[in-house]
Amino acid sequence: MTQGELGGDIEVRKNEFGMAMQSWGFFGYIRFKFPDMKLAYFPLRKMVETVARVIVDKNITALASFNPNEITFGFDHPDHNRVGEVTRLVSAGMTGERKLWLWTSGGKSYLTKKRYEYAKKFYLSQRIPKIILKNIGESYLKIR
Amino acid sequence: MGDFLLINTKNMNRYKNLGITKNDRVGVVIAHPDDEVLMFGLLEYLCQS
Repeated sequence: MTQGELGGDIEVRKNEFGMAMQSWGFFGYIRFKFPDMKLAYFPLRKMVETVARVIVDKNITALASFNPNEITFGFDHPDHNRVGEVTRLVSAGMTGERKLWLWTSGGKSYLTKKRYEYAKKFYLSQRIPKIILKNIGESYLKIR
Repeated sequence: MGDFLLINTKNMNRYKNLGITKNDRVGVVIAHPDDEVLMFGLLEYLCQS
């Protein structure tokens, strides 16, 4: 949703993300330019409509994002919650099964080594602390 | 609130409980480039399935 401009040079972050996405090799991606750290104050409707257009254009059938109510040390960032809310609203307006999964930090962390290696390989500018990845789990609320 | 799917195992079969099918086109919405690190397991599962 954002370019992560408050976390470093936009071009660097853009390139890092591009390389990371390329490594997965199985999907395309779209970068929006909503303001970093200000999503909570940005008009919700504009974000929902923007994402919804992509969902329709790309024939997306299922969505995953962060739980809008998630507050956990190492994860806590209002932008994360806001994208979860945007996703929930977009999902509500979809047709078909409208599958929706919301990430939560519940449970013990796993794949820590892989996560850390991935972060180190593709996001050199961010220096994501290993302790954060070690302490944050990965679970999902299956909404539908 | 929906079902809580706890995934703290290396067994990727846990993700089957999300109900993802071959026909699904999954969109992952994140706030910043690098946020996907937290969804690493899901991405890996999508990659394998």
